[in-house]
Amino acid sequence: MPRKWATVALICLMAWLYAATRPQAKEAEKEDSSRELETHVQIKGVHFQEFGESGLTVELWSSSGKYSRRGESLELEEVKVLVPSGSGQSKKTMELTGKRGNVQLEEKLVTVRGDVQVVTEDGYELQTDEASYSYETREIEGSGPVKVIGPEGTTTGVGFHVWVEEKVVLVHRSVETILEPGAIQRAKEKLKE
Amino acid sequence: MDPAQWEKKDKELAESPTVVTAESMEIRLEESLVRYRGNVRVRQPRYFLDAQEMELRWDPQTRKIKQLLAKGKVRMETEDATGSCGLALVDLEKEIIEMTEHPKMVQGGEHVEGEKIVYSIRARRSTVLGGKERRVRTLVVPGGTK
Repeated sequence: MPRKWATVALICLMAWLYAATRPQAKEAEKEDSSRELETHVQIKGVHFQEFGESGLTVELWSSSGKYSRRGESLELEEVKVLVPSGSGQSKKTMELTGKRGNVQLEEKLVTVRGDVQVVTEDGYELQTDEASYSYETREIEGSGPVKVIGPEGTTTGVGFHVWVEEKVVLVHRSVETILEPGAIQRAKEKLKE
Repeated sequence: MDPAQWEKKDKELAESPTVVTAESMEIRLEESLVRYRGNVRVRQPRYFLDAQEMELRWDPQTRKIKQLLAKGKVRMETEDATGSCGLALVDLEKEIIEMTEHPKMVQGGEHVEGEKIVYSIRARRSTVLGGKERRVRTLVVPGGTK
């Protein structure tokens, strides 16, 4: 008998707890969703620039964007990032493009996904599915399959790292280069265009 | 084959692509240099080359590859010769291969060693140089081919 009363008491306690906490949870959900609505800003046609002590640190263009204040991030479509490389007379620009992008403002990191291309003024083109550019350390990195098309030929491999200032490109694994004698002439013509 | 046929065949083969495989590759744009590391294999119909590391330099003006430097356990094979050494410098403008660090070559039944072996790709002729450390050593195998 006492066991039966204990079970009834437990059920009553649980019902009371549910009744007491449910409205609060509903209220919190309501608050959360309203906050979400407040912190997302849709933008059409984005031109984003960030300046540091040394001047312009990153410049990008995008067809549209979505800004989240809480996450301090910017979601982008059809992205083009200009990456200045070298200094003095050898100062040139690399271009990083892709279908979608994300800028983590705190981490100073731009991640580009889908048909990603890194093009240098020296005539090199790097193709991959995903690449991240840190505009703090000035490095571009990717871990997936990569194709490097250069004046001397075409290289395929897995994983890459670009040190923008030093103009160094490293392909990490499984490298295969096809050096074609005709590629040099084609690259020269491409550079002239 | 007569000289005209050789020349035609040479031209055709020279225009064939060269395939380089390695574990990693580093392009240093400022230095006009590509560095391959780990089990480097170069395959071209006229020759093959294996090494632990290889550097490839190009002329920044013409963008043409001018030099190839293979390092560590270098093994080479051309149509008429095989060779091994620790360091091989292939000058593509002069069309010569300079082999140093215990170079050895077998060509036309002759086994040669010295301090430095210079092989002319076009003339298919090798010159063996001796030094204080290593004198020229030739081993002729009667009736030998390669």
